[in-house]
Amino acid sequence: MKKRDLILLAGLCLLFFLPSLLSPYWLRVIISTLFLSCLSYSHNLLFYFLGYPAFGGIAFFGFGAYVFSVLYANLSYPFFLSLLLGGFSSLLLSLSVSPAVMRLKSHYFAIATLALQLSFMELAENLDITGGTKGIVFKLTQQSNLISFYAFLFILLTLLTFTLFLEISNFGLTMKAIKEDETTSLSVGVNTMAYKSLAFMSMAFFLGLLGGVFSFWNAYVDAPTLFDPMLSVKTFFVLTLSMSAPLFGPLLWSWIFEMTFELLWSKFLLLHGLLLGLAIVVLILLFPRGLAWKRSWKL
Amino acid sequence: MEIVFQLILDAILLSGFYTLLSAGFSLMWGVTGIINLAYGSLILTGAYMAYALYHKEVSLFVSLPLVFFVGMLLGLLLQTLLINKLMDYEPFTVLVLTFGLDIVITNLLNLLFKADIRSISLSFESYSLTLGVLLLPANKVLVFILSTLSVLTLYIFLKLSWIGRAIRAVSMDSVGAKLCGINPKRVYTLSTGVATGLALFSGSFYAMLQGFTPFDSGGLTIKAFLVCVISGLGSVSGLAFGSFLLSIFEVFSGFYMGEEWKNVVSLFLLILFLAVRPRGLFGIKYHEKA
Repeated sequence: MKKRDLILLAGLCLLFFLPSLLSPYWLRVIISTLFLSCLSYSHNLLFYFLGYPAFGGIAFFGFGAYVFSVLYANLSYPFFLSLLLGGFSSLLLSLSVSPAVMRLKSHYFAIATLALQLSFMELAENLDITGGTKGIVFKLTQQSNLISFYAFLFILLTLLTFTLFLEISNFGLTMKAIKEDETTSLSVGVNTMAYKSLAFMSMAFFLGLLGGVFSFWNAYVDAPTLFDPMLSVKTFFVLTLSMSAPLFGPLLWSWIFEMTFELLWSKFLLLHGLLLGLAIVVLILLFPRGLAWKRSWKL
Repeated sequence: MEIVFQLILDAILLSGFYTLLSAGFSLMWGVTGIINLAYGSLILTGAYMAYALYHKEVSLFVSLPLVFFVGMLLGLLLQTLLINKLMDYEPFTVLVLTFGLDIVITNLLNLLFKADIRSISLSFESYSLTLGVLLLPANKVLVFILSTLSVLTLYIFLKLSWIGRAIRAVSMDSVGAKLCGINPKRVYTLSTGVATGLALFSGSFYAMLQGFTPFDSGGLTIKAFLVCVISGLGSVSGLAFGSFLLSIFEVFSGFYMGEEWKNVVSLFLLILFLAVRPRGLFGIKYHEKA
Protein backbone atom coordinates (compact mmCIF):
# COMPACT_ATOMS: atom_id res chain seq x y z
CA MET A 1 0.00 0.00 0.00
CA LYS A 2 1.41 3.35 -0.97
CA LYS A 3 1.40 6.65 0.79
CA ARG A 4 -1.28 8.28 -1.32
CA ASP A 5 -3.68 5.46 -0.63
CA LEU A 6 -3.24 6.06 3.06
CA ILE A 7 -3.94 9.72 2.47
CA LEU A 8 -7.07 8.80 0.58
CA LEU A 9 -8.25 6.53 3.35
CA ALA A 10 -7.61 9.29 5.85
CA GLY A 11 -9.63 11.64 3.66
CA LEU A 12 -12.47 9.16 3.68
CA CYS A 13 -12.35 9.09 7.46
CA LEU A 14 -12.94 12.82 7.40
CA LEU A 15 -16.33 12.02 5.93
CA PHE A 16 -17.33 11.05 9.45
CA PHE A 17 -17.82 14.70 10.25
CA LEU A 18 -19.84 15.41 7.13
CA PRO A 19 -23.39 15.08 8.51
CA SER A 20 -22.98 18.03 10.85
CA LEU A 21 -22.11 20.26 7.88
CA LEU A 22 -24.86 19.29 5.47
CA SER A 23 -28.55 19.96 5.11
CA PRO A 24 -30.75 16.85 5.29
CA TYR A 25 -31.34 16.94 1.53
CA TRP A 26 -27.64 16.82 0.67
CA LEU A 27 -27.06 14.25 3.36
CA ARG A 28 -29.54 12.03 1.56
CA VAL A 29 -27.75 12.61 -1.76
CA ILE A 30 -24.42 11.74 -0.15
CA ILE A 31 -25.95 8.60 1.34
CA SER A 32 -27.12 7.51 -2.09
CA THR A 33 -23.59 7.93 -3.48
CA LEU A 34 -22.22 5.92 -0.56
CA PHE A 35 -24.83 3.28 -1.23
CA LEU A 36 -23.94 3.01 -4.90
CA SER A 37 -20.22 2.81 -4.22
CA CYS A 38 -20.84 0.09 -1.62
CA LEU A 39 -22.85 -1.87 -4.19
CA SER A 40 -20.08 -1.44 -6.76
CA TYR A 41 -17.31 -2.53 -4.44
CA SER A 42 -19.21 -5.61 -3.34
CA HIS A 43 -19.84 -6.66 -6.93
CA ASN A 44 -16.24 -5.85 -7.72
CA LEU A 45 -15.03 -8.54 -5.32
CA LEU A 46 -16.28 -10.99 -7.88
CA PHE A 47 -16.02 -8.95 -11.06
CA TYR A 48 -12.55 -7.49 -10.73
CA PHE A 49 -10.80 -10.38 -9.03
CA LEU A 50 -12.50 -13.26 -10.80
CA GLY A 51 -14.12 -11.72 -13.87
CA TYR A 52 -17.58 -12.94 -12.90
CA PRO A 53 -20.31 -10.41 -13.65
CA ALA A 54 -23.06 -11.06 -11.11
CA PHE A 55 -25.79 -9.27 -13.01
CA GLY A 56 -28.35 -10.45 -10.50
CA GLY A 57 -26.25 -10.02 -7.39
CA ILE A 58 -29.13 -7.89 -6.14
CA ALA A 59 -30.79 -11.20 -5.25
CA PHE A 60 -28.55 -11.35 -2.17
CA PHE A 61 -29.16 -7.71 -1.42
CA GLY A 62 -32.90 -8.25 -1.39
CA PHE A 63 -32.66 -11.47 0.57
CA GLY A 64 -30.58 -9.84 3.30
CA ALA A 65 -32.92 -6.87 3.30
CA TYR A 66 -35.96 -9.06 3.85
CA VAL A 67 -34.29 -11.02 6.64
CA PHE A 68 -33.35 -7.74 8.31
CA SER A 69 -36.80 -6.24 7.86
CA VAL A 70 -38.65 -9.22 9.23
CA LEU A 71 -36.34 -9.48 12.22
CA TYR A 72 -36.10 -5.77 12.96
CA ALA A 73 -39.54 -4.45 12.10
CA ASN A 74 -41.78 -7.44 12.75
CA LEU A 75 -39.99 -9.30 15.53
CA SER A 76 -38.25 -6.19 16.97
CA TYR A 77 -34.79 -7.68 17.25
CA PRO A 78 -31.99 -5.20 18.01
CA PHE A 79 -30.69 -3.23 15.03
CA PHE A 80 -27.16 -4.57 14.78
CA LEU A 81 -28.12 -8.14 15.47
CA SER A 82 -30.71 -8.16 12.69
CA LEU A 83 -28.24 -6.45 10.37
CA LEU A 84 -25.62 -9.11 10.96
CA LEU A 85 -28.18 -11.89 10.70
CA GLY A 86 -29.27 -10.43 7.38
CA GLY A 87 -25.70 -10.49 6.12
CA PHE A 88 -25.08 -14.01 7.31
CA SER A 89 -28.28 -15.38 5.86
CA SER A 90 -27.27 -13.95 2.49
CA LEU A 91 -23.93 -15.64 2.95
CA LEU A 92 -25.60 -18.95 3.71
CA LEU A 93 -27.84 -18.56 0.68
CA SER A 94 -24.84 -17.94 -1.55
CA LEU A 95 -23.08 -20.94 -0.02
CA SER A 96 -26.03 -23.12 -0.93
CA VAL A 97 -26.25 -21.96 -4.53
CA SER A 98 -22.54 -21.55 -5.23
CA PRO A 99 -21.79 -25.20 -6.16
CA ALA A 100 -24.29 -24.84 -8.98
CA VAL A 101 -23.80 -21.23 -9.99
CA MET A 102 -20.04 -20.85 -9.74
CA ARG A 103 -19.49 -23.66 -12.23
CA LEU A 104 -20.96 -21.50 -14.96
CA LYS A 105 -19.06 -19.10 -17.16
CA SER A 106 -19.65 -15.42 -17.97
CA HIS A 107 -23.00 -15.20 -19.81
CA TYR A 108 -24.49 -18.22 -18.17
CA PHE A 109 -23.38 -17.01 -14.78
CA ALA A 110 -24.75 -13.51 -15.37
CA ILE A 111 -28.15 -14.82 -16.42
CA ALA A 112 -28.29 -17.48 -13.71
CA THR A 113 -27.91 -14.82 -11.03
CA LEU A 114 -30.43 -12.65 -12.85
CA ALA A 115 -32.88 -15.54 -12.80
CA LEU A 116 -32.21 -15.96 -9.09
CA GLN A 117 -33.02 -12.31 -8.56
CA LEU A 118 -36.25 -12.42 -10.56
CA SER A 119 -37.43 -15.62 -8.90
CA PHE A 120 -36.81 -14.14 -5.45
CA MET A 121 -38.76 -11.09 -6.48
CA GLU A 122 -41.70 -13.25 -7.52
CA LEU A 123 -41.39 -15.31 -4.34
CA ALA A 124 -41.33 -12.23 -2.13
CA GLU A 125 -44.47 -10.94 -3.78
CA ASN A 126 -46.32 -14.17 -3.13
CA LEU A 127 -45.23 -15.10 0.37
CA ASP A 128 -46.94 -13.93 3.55
CA ILE A 129 -43.86 -13.38 5.69
CA THR A 130 -42.57 -10.69 3.34
CA GLY A 131 -45.82 -8.79 3.49
CA GLY A 132 -46.62 -9.78 -0.09
CA THR A 133 -47.19 -6.81 -2.37
CA LYS A 134 -47.92 -4.58 0.63
CA GLY A 135 -44.34 -4.79 1.86
CA ILE A 136 -43.01 -3.97 5.30
CA VAL A 137 -43.13 -0.51 6.86
CA PHE A 138 -40.58 0.71 9.42
CA LYS A 139 -40.95 3.24 12.17
CA LEU A 140 -39.07 6.32 11.08
CA THR A 141 -36.98 8.16 13.63
CA GLN A 142 -35.12 11.45 13.61
CA GLN A 143 -31.84 9.63 13.61
CA SER A 144 -32.45 7.15 10.83
CA ASN A 145 -30.72 9.25 8.18
CA LEU A 146 -27.69 9.71 10.40
CA ILE A 147 -27.48 6.08 11.42
CA SER A 148 -27.71 4.93 7.81
CA PHE A 149 -25.00 7.40 6.83
CA TYR A 150 -22.57 5.99 9.35
CA ALA A 151 -23.54 2.41 8.60
CA PHE A 152 -22.98 2.90 4.85
CA LEU A 153 -19.72 4.72 5.49
CA PHE A 154 -18.53 1.94 7.75
CA ILE A 155 -19.39 -0.73 5.19
CA LEU A 156 -17.70 1.29 2.44
CA LEU A 157 -14.49 1.63 4.44
CA THR A 158 -14.54 -2.06 5.28
CA LEU A 159 -15.05 -2.94 1.62
CA LEU A 160 -12.24 -0.63 0.54
CA THR A 161 -9.85 -2.05 3.09
CA PHE A 162 -10.84 -5.55 2.10
CA THR A 163 -10.30 -4.79 -1.59
CA LEU A 164 -6.91 -3.22 -0.92
CA PHE A 165 -5.97 -6.19 1.22
CA LEU A 166 -6.98 -8.60 -1.53
CA GLU A 167 -5.01 -6.58 -4.05
CA ILE A 168 -1.74 -7.07 -2.19
CA SER A 169 -2.39 -10.48 -0.68
CA ASN A 170 -1.72 -13.92 -2.07
CA PHE A 171 -5.40 -14.65 -1.94
CA GLY A 172 -6.21 -11.90 -4.41
CA LEU A 173 -3.36 -12.92 -6.68
CA THR A 174 -4.66 -16.47 -6.77
CA MET A 175 -8.08 -15.21 -7.72
CA LYS A 176 -6.61 -13.17 -10.55
CA ALA A 177 -4.74 -16.25 -11.72
CA ILE A 178 -8.04 -18.12 -11.84
CA LYS A 179 -9.53 -15.24 -13.81
CA GLU A 180 -6.70 -15.44 -16.35
CA ASP A 181 -6.74 -19.18 -16.82
CA GLU A 182 -8.76 -21.52 -14.69
CA THR A 183 -7.45 -24.74 -16.17
CA THR A 184 -3.84 -23.81 -15.56
CA SER A 185 -4.63 -22.76 -12.01
CA LEU A 186 -6.26 -26.12 -11.45
CA SER A 187 -3.24 -27.91 -12.85
CA VAL A 188 -0.88 -26.18 -10.43
CA GLY A 189 -3.01 -27.35 -7.57
CA VAL A 190 -5.29 -24.43 -6.78
CA ASN A 191 -8.72 -25.43 -5.55
CA THR A 192 -10.45 -22.95 -7.83
CA MET A 193 -13.95 -23.81 -6.63
CA ALA A 194 -13.06 -22.91 -3.05
CA TYR A 195 -11.65 -19.53 -4.07
CA LYS A 196 -14.59 -18.76 -6.31
CA SER A 197 -17.07 -19.74 -3.62
CA LEU A 198 -15.30 -17.63 -1.01
CA ALA A 199 -15.36 -14.58 -3.25
CA PHE A 200 -19.01 -15.22 -4.04
CA MET A 201 -19.86 -15.58 -0.37
CA SER A 202 -18.06 -12.43 0.65
CA MET A 203 -19.93 -10.52 -2.04
CA ALA A 204 -23.21 -11.95 -0.80
CA PHE A 205 -22.38 -11.12 2.81
CA PHE A 206 -21.69 -7.47 2.05
CA LEU A 207 -24.76 -7.25 -0.16
CA GLY A 208 -26.89 -8.69 2.64
CA LEU A 209 -25.57 -6.10 5.08
CA LEU A 210 -26.23 -3.37 2.55
CA GLY A 211 -29.76 -4.64 2.07
CA GLY A 212 -30.39 -4.26 5.78
CA VAL A 213 -29.05 -0.73 5.97
CA PHE A 214 -30.89 0.22 2.80
CA SER A 215 -34.23 -0.97 4.13
CA PHE A 216 -33.67 0.89 7.37
CA TRP A 217 -32.80 4.03 5.41
CA ASN A 218 -35.70 3.65 3.00
CA ALA A 219 -38.11 2.91 5.89
CA TYR A 220 -40.27 0.84 3.57
CA VAL A 221 -39.52 -2.30 1.63
CA ASP A 222 -41.37 -4.25 -1.01
CA ALA A 223 -40.24 -6.60 -3.74
CA PRO A 224 -39.93 -4.09 -6.63
CA THR A 225 -37.76 -1.74 -4.54
CA LEU A 226 -35.46 -4.42 -3.20
CA PHE A 227 -35.03 -6.42 -6.39
CA ASP A 228 -34.97 -3.41 -8.69
CA PRO A 229 -32.97 -4.29 -11.85
CA MET A 230 -31.99 -0.61 -12.00
CA LEU A 231 -29.71 -1.21 -9.03
CA SER A 232 -27.65 -3.74 -10.98
CA VAL A 233 -27.68 -1.53 -14.07
CA LYS A 234 -26.24 1.37 -12.10
CA THR A 235 -23.69 -0.87 -10.43
CA PHE A 236 -22.45 -2.36 -13.67
CA PHE A 237 -22.40 1.00 -15.35
CA VAL A 238 -20.02 2.17 -12.63
CA LEU A 239 -18.00 -1.03 -12.77
CA THR A 240 -17.61 -0.94 -16.55
CA LEU A 241 -16.33 2.60 -16.41
CA SER A 242 -13.87 1.76 -13.69
CA MET A 243 -12.49 -1.39 -15.29
CA SER A 244 -9.08 0.18 -15.73
CA ALA A 245 -9.04 1.72 -12.28
CA PRO A 246 -10.70 -1.00 -10.25
CA LEU A 247 -9.57 0.07 -6.82
CA PHE A 248 -10.72 3.65 -6.56
CA GLY A 249 -12.65 3.99 -9.80
CA PRO A 250 -15.96 2.81 -8.34
CA LEU A 251 -15.76 5.49 -5.67
CA LEU A 252 -15.24 8.26 -8.18
CA TRP A 253 -17.69 7.04 -10.75
CA SER A 254 -20.53 6.41 -8.34
CA TRP A 255 -19.95 9.92 -7.06
CA ILE A 256 -20.14 11.41 -10.56
CA PHE A 257 -23.06 9.21 -11.49
CA GLU A 258 -25.26 10.01 -8.51
CA MET A 259 -24.49 13.72 -8.66
CA THR A 260 -25.25 13.93 -12.38
CA PHE A 261 -28.45 12.01 -12.03
CA GLU A 262 -29.56 13.86 -8.97
CA LEU A 263 -29.38 17.02 -11.08
CA LEU A 264 -30.91 15.40 -14.19
CA TRP A 265 -33.62 13.64 -12.24
CA SER A 266 -35.24 16.84 -11.15
CA LYS A 267 -34.90 18.50 -14.58
CA PHE A 268 -36.05 15.73 -16.92
CA LEU A 269 -38.56 13.69 -15.02
CA LEU A 270 -39.79 11.80 -18.07
CA LEU A 271 -36.50 11.44 -19.86
CA HIS A 272 -34.10 10.31 -17.19
CA GLY A 273 -34.48 6.61 -17.96
CA LEU A 274 -33.82 7.27 -21.61
CA LEU A 275 -30.79 9.40 -20.80
CA LEU A 276 -29.42 6.72 -18.52
CA GLY A 277 -29.72 4.11 -21.26
CA LEU A 278 -28.15 6.40 -23.85
CA ALA A 279 -25.31 7.23 -21.48
CA ILE A 280 -24.61 3.53 -20.99
CA VAL A 281 -24.63 2.82 -24.73
CA VAL A 282 -22.45 5.80 -25.65
CA LEU A 283 -19.93 5.33 -22.86
CA ILE A 284 -19.47 1.62 -23.48
CA LEU A 285 -18.91 2.35 -27.18
CA LEU A 286 -16.40 5.09 -26.44
CA PHE A 287 -14.54 3.37 -23.64
CA PRO A 288 -14.84 -0.39 -24.03
CA ARG A 289 -11.84 -0.87 -21.77
CA GLY A 290 -13.16 1.40 -19.07
CA LEU A 291 -12.18 4.92 -18.36
CA ALA A 292 -9.34 5.53 -15.96
CA TRP A 293 -9.53 8.75 -14.08
CA LYS A 294 -5.77 8.70 -14.13
CA ARG A 295 -4.03 5.70 -15.54
CA SER A 296 -1.12 5.79 -13.12
CA TRP A 297 -3.51 5.45 -10.21
CA LYS A 298 -3.08 1.73 -9.90
CA LEU A 299 -1.53 -0.05 -7.01
CA MET B 1 -59.82 -35.46 -16.68
CA GLU B 2 -60.84 -33.30 -19.63
CA ILE B 3 -59.09 -30.39 -18.01
CA VAL B 4 -55.72 -32.12 -18.32
CA PHE B 5 -56.21 -32.56 -22.05
CA GLN B 6 -57.34 -28.98 -22.35
CA LEU B 7 -54.21 -27.82 -20.54
CA ILE B 8 -51.96 -29.95 -22.72
CA LEU B 9 -53.65 -28.51 -25.78
CA ASP B 10 -53.12 -24.97 -24.46
CA ALA B 11 -49.49 -25.78 -23.86
CA ILE B 12 -49.05 -27.06 -27.41
CA LEU B 13 -50.64 -23.93 -28.86
CA LEU B 14 -48.45 -21.73 -26.67
CA SER B 15 -45.29 -23.66 -27.50
CA GLY B 16 -45.61 -22.72 -31.18
CA PHE B 17 -45.34 -19.08 -30.21
CA TYR B 18 -42.47 -19.71 -27.79
CA THR B 19 -40.51 -21.50 -30.50
CA LEU B 20 -40.77 -18.50 -32.77
CA LEU B 21 -40.01 -16.14 -29.90
CA SER B 22 -36.80 -17.88 -28.99
CA ALA B 23 -35.68 -18.69 -32.55
CA GLY B 24 -34.08 -15.30 -33.11
CA PHE B 25 -32.44 -15.28 -29.73
CA SER B 26 -31.02 -18.72 -30.32
CA LEU B 27 -29.79 -17.81 -33.81
CA MET B 28 -27.96 -14.72 -32.61
CA TRP B 29 -26.47 -16.46 -29.59
CA GLY B 30 -25.42 -19.51 -31.52
CA VAL B 31 -23.80 -17.65 -34.40
CA THR B 32 -22.36 -14.46 -32.93
CA GLY B 33 -22.06 -15.64 -29.33
CA ILE B 34 -24.00 -12.59 -28.17
CA ILE B 35 -26.70 -12.74 -25.56
CA ASN B 36 -28.97 -9.96 -26.61
CA LEU B 37 -30.50 -8.52 -23.45
CA ALA B 38 -32.45 -6.05 -25.60
CA TYR B 39 -34.30 -8.95 -27.22
CA GLY B 40 -37.42 -8.51 -25.10
CA SER B 41 -37.69 -4.84 -25.90
CA LEU B 42 -37.24 -5.64 -29.59
CA ILE B 43 -40.16 -8.04 -29.34
CA LEU B 44 -42.20 -5.25 -27.78
CA THR B 45 -41.14 -2.87 -30.55
CA GLY B 46 -42.68 -5.36 -32.97
CA ALA B 47 -45.78 -5.59 -30.80
CA TYR B 48 -46.24 -1.82 -30.79
CA MET B 49 -45.58 -1.61 -34.49
CA ALA B 50 -48.21 -4.24 -35.19
CA TYR B 51 -50.54 -2.42 -32.83
CA ALA B 52 -50.05 0.90 -34.64
CA LEU B 53 -50.48 -0.71 -38.06
CA TYR B 54 -53.56 -2.55 -36.87
CA HIS B 55 -55.15 0.72 -35.81
CA LYS B 56 -54.31 2.20 -39.21
CA GLU B 57 -56.36 -0.72 -40.54
CA VAL B 58 -53.51 -2.27 -42.47
CA SER B 59 -54.26 -5.89 -43.22
CA LEU B 60 -52.28 -8.64 -41.51
CA PHE B 61 -50.88 -9.86 -44.82
CA VAL B 62 -49.11 -6.55 -45.27
CA SER B 63 -48.27 -5.71 -41.68
CA LEU B 64 -46.62 -9.02 -40.71
CA PRO B 65 -43.98 -8.99 -43.49
CA LEU B 66 -43.52 -5.26 -42.99
CA VAL B 67 -42.75 -5.74 -39.31
CA PHE B 68 -40.27 -8.48 -40.19
CA PHE B 69 -38.39 -6.38 -42.73
CA VAL B 70 -38.25 -3.32 -40.50
CA GLY B 71 -36.86 -5.56 -37.79
CA MET B 72 -34.28 -6.97 -40.16
CA LEU B 73 -33.17 -3.49 -41.14
CA LEU B 74 -32.96 -2.53 -37.49
CA GLY B 75 -30.85 -5.60 -36.80
CA LEU B 76 -28.46 -4.84 -39.67
CA LEU B 77 -28.01 -1.33 -38.33
CA LEU B 78 -27.60 -2.63 -34.78
CA GLN B 79 -24.83 -4.99 -35.79
CA THR B 80 -22.92 -2.67 -38.12
CA LEU B 81 -23.21 0.53 -36.12
CA LEU B 82 -22.97 -0.72 -32.56
CA ILE B 83 -22.07 -4.33 -31.93
CA ASN B 84 -19.26 -4.65 -34.52
CA LYS B 85 -17.42 -1.89 -32.68
CA LEU B 86 -17.22 -4.07 -29.59
CA MET B 87 -16.62 -7.51 -31.13
CA ASP B 88 -12.88 -7.40 -30.43
CA TYR B 89 -13.21 -6.42 -26.79
CA GLU B 90 -14.37 -8.42 -23.82
CA PRO B 91 -17.71 -10.11 -24.51
CA PHE B 92 -18.99 -8.60 -21.31
CA THR B 93 -19.05 -5.16 -22.94
CA VAL B 94 -21.61 -6.33 -25.51
CA LEU B 95 -23.77 -7.57 -22.67
CA VAL B 96 -23.67 -4.11 -21.09
CA LEU B 97 -24.36 -2.51 -24.46
CA THR B 98 -27.49 -4.57 -25.02
CA PHE B 99 -28.57 -3.89 -21.44
CA GLY B 100 -28.29 -0.17 -22.19
CA LEU B 101 -30.20 -0.60 -25.44
CA ASP B 102 -32.94 -2.38 -23.56
CA ILE B 103 -33.40 0.62 -21.28
CA VAL B 104 -33.33 3.01 -24.23
CA ILE B 105 -35.93 1.10 -26.25
CA THR B 106 -38.18 0.52 -23.25
CA ASN B 107 -38.16 4.20 -22.39
CA LEU B 108 -38.70 5.26 -26.00
CA LEU B 109 -41.72 2.97 -26.24
CA ASN B 110 -42.98 4.36 -22.97
CA LEU B 111 -42.65 7.92 -24.27
CA LEU B 112 -44.32 7.11 -27.58
CA PHE B 113 -47.13 4.85 -26.45
CA LYS B 114 -47.47 5.49 -22.68
CA ALA B 115 -47.51 2.71 -20.14
CA ASP B 116 -51.14 1.65 -20.62
CA ILE B 117 -51.79 -1.98 -21.40
CA ARG B 118 -52.41 -2.43 -25.13
CA SER B 119 -53.54 -5.39 -27.15
CA ILE B 120 -54.76 -6.27 -30.61
CA SER B 121 -58.21 -7.83 -30.67
CA LEU B 122 -58.78 -9.51 -34.00
CA SER B 123 -62.24 -9.41 -35.47
CA PHE B 124 -62.70 -13.15 -35.14
CA GLU B 125 -61.28 -13.33 -31.62
CA SER B 126 -64.56 -14.27 -30.01
CA TYR B 127 -64.84 -17.40 -32.13
CA SER B 128 -63.57 -20.66 -30.76
CA LEU B 129 -63.23 -23.96 -32.46
CA THR B 130 -64.30 -26.97 -30.51
CA LEU B 131 -62.76 -30.38 -30.61
CA GLY B 132 -65.14 -32.60 -28.69
CA VAL B 133 -65.12 -31.06 -25.24
CA LEU B 134 -61.89 -29.19 -25.89
CA LEU B 135 -61.83 -25.51 -26.70
CA LEU B 136 -59.52 -23.89 -29.26
CA PRO B 137 -59.57 -20.06 -29.19
CA ALA B 138 -59.24 -18.72 -32.71
CA ASN B 139 -56.41 -16.26 -32.04
CA LYS B 140 -54.26 -18.91 -30.38
CA VAL B 141 -54.80 -21.31 -33.26
CA LEU B 142 -53.92 -18.61 -35.79
CA VAL B 143 -50.74 -17.69 -33.91
CA PHE B 144 -49.79 -21.35 -33.59
CA ILE B 145 -50.21 -22.00 -37.30
CA LEU B 146 -48.37 -18.87 -38.41
CA SER B 147 -45.54 -19.37 -35.92
CA THR B 148 -45.07 -22.96 -36.94
CA LEU B 149 -45.00 -21.98 -40.60
CA SER B 150 -42.41 -19.27 -39.92
CA VAL B 151 -40.21 -21.59 -37.90
CA LEU B 152 -40.42 -24.17 -40.68
CA THR B 153 -39.41 -21.52 -43.19
CA LEU B 154 -36.45 -20.59 -41.01
CA TYR B 155 -35.50 -24.24 -40.73
CA ILE B 156 -35.59 -24.75 -44.48
CA PHE B 157 -33.67 -21.51 -45.02
CA LEU B 158 -30.93 -22.60 -42.62
CA LYS B 159 -30.84 -26.14 -43.96
CA LEU B 160 -30.91 -25.62 -47.71
CA SER B 161 -29.95 -22.14 -48.83
CA TRP B 162 -26.31 -21.16 -49.36
CA ILE B 163 -26.60 -18.35 -46.83
CA GLY B 164 -28.20 -20.65 -44.30
CA ARG B 165 -25.40 -23.13 -44.69
CA ALA B 166 -22.86 -20.33 -44.28
CA ILE B 167 -24.57 -19.26 -41.06
CA ARG B 168 -24.43 -22.79 -39.71
CA ALA B 169 -20.82 -23.14 -40.77
CA VAL B 170 -19.78 -20.01 -38.92
CA SER B 171 -21.64 -21.06 -35.81
CA MET B 172 -19.84 -24.41 -35.81
CA ASP B 173 -16.34 -23.14 -36.54
CA SER B 174 -15.69 -19.58 -37.63
CA VAL B 175 -12.04 -20.20 -38.56
CA GLY B 176 -12.94 -23.19 -40.70
CA ALA B 177 -15.67 -21.17 -42.36
CA LYS B 178 -13.18 -18.43 -43.10
CA LEU B 179 -10.93 -20.97 -44.85
CA CYS B 180 -13.83 -21.90 -47.10
CA GLY B 181 -14.25 -18.32 -48.21
CA ILE B 182 -17.03 -17.19 -45.89
CA ASN B 183 -16.71 -13.75 -44.39
CA PRO B 184 -17.75 -14.21 -40.73
CA LYS B 185 -18.39 -10.50 -40.18
CA ARG B 186 -21.01 -10.53 -42.93
CA VAL B 187 -22.58 -13.65 -41.53
CA TYR B 188 -22.72 -12.02 -38.09
CA THR B 189 -24.47 -8.99 -39.57
CA LEU B 190 -26.89 -11.14 -41.48
CA SER B 191 -27.79 -13.38 -38.57
CA THR B 192 -28.31 -10.43 -36.25
CA GLY B 193 -30.56 -8.98 -38.94
CA VAL B 194 -32.62 -12.14 -39.25
CA ALA B 195 -32.70 -12.55 -35.47
CA THR B 196 -33.97 -9.02 -34.91
CA GLY B 197 -36.48 -9.47 -37.69
CA LEU B 198 -37.75 -12.60 -35.96
CA ALA B 199 -37.94 -10.72 -32.66
CA LEU B 200 -40.16 -8.00 -34.08
CA PHE B 201 -42.16 -10.57 -36.04
CA SER B 202 -42.89 -12.61 -32.94
CA GLY B 203 -43.84 -9.36 -31.24
CA SER B 204 -46.80 -8.93 -33.52
CA PHE B 205 -48.03 -12.36 -32.42
CA TYR B 206 -47.42 -11.45 -28.81
CA ALA B 207 -49.75 -8.52 -29.32
CA MET B 208 -52.46 -10.86 -30.58
CA LEU B 209 -52.11 -13.24 -27.65
CA GLN B 210 -52.11 -10.91 -24.66
CA GLY B 211 -51.94 -7.34 -23.44
CA PHE B 212 -48.53 -5.72 -23.18
CA THR B 213 -46.76 -2.69 -21.73
CA PRO B 214 -43.27 -1.31 -22.51
CA PHE B 215 -41.99 -2.83 -19.27
CA ASP B 216 -42.52 -6.51 -20.14
CA SER B 217 -39.16 -6.75 -21.84
CA GLY B 218 -37.15 -8.36 -19.03
CA GLY B 219 -39.58 -11.23 -18.68
CA LEU B 220 -39.59 -11.83 -22.45
CA THR B 221 -35.80 -11.90 -22.66
CA ILE B 222 -35.65 -14.37 -19.78
CA LYS B 223 -38.25 -16.53 -21.51
CA ALA B 224 -36.27 -16.64 -24.75
CA PHE B 225 -33.13 -17.39 -22.78
CA LEU B 226 -34.90 -20.11 -20.84
CA VAL B 227 -36.05 -21.89 -23.98
CA CYS B 228 -32.51 -21.72 -25.39
CA VAL B 229 -31.02 -23.10 -22.18
CA ILE B 230 -33.50 -25.97 -22.00
CA SER B 231 -33.07 -26.97 -25.61
CA GLY B 232 -29.46 -26.04 -26.24
CA LEU B 233 -28.06 -24.11 -29.17
CA GLY B 234 -27.97 -25.22 -32.74
CA SER B 235 -31.10 -27.28 -33.22
CA VAL B 236 -34.48 -26.05 -34.37
CA SER B 237 -36.36 -29.20 -33.35
CA GLY B 238 -34.71 -28.96 -29.94
CA LEU B 239 -36.08 -25.45 -29.69
CA ALA B 240 -39.59 -26.73 -30.34
CA PHE B 241 -39.21 -29.33 -27.62
CA GLY B 242 -37.79 -26.80 -25.16
CA SER B 243 -40.71 -24.48 -25.82
CA PHE B 244 -43.12 -27.32 -25.28
CA LEU B 245 -41.52 -28.21 -21.96
CA LEU B 246 -41.62 -24.59 -20.81
CA SER B 247 -45.24 -24.09 -21.80
CA ILE B 248 -46.27 -27.35 -20.13
CA PHE B 249 -44.66 -26.14 -16.91
CA GLU B 250 -46.21 -22.69 -17.25
CA VAL B 251 -49.70 -23.83 -18.10
CA PHE B 252 -49.89 -26.51 -15.42
CA SER B 253 -48.34 -24.43 -12.64
CA GLY B 254 -50.54 -21.51 -13.65
CA PHE B 255 -53.63 -23.67 -13.35
CA TYR B 256 -52.86 -25.71 -10.26
CA MET B 257 -50.77 -23.30 -8.18
CA GLY B 258 -52.20 -20.00 -9.34
CA GLU B 259 -51.17 -17.57 -12.05
CA GLU B 260 -48.77 -15.71 -9.78
CA TRP B 261 -46.59 -18.81 -9.26
CA LYS B 262 -46.10 -19.37 -12.99
CA ASN B 263 -42.97 -17.25 -13.25
CA VAL B 264 -41.46 -18.59 -10.05
CA VAL B 265 -41.74 -22.11 -11.41
CA SER B 266 -40.23 -21.29 -14.79
CA LEU B 267 -37.37 -19.33 -13.22
CA PHE B 268 -36.53 -22.21 -10.93
CA LEU B 269 -36.62 -24.43 -13.99
CA LEU B 270 -34.01 -22.14 -15.54
CA ILE B 271 -31.77 -22.26 -12.48
CA LEU B 272 -32.13 -26.03 -12.36
CA PHE B 273 -31.11 -26.40 -15.99
CA LEU B 274 -28.18 -24.03 -15.65
CA ALA B 275 -27.00 -25.99 -12.64
CA VAL B 276 -27.49 -29.49 -13.96
CA ARG B 277 -27.14 -29.32 -17.71
CA PRO B 278 -26.00 -25.92 -18.99
CA ARG B 279 -25.60 -27.07 -22.57
CA GLY B 280 -29.25 -27.98 -22.75
CA LEU B 281 -31.03 -31.15 -23.79
CA PHE B 282 -30.06 -31.08 -27.45
CA GLY B 283 -27.15 -28.65 -27.35
CA ILE B 284 -24.07 -29.33 -29.36
CA LYS B 285 -21.74 -27.29 -27.23
CA TYR B 286 -21.57 -25.21 -24.09
CA HIS B 287 -20.55 -21.80 -25.37
CA GLU B 288 -17.59 -20.84 -23.25
CA LYS B 289 -16.16 -18.28 -25.60
CA ALA B 290 -18.83 -15.70 -24.92
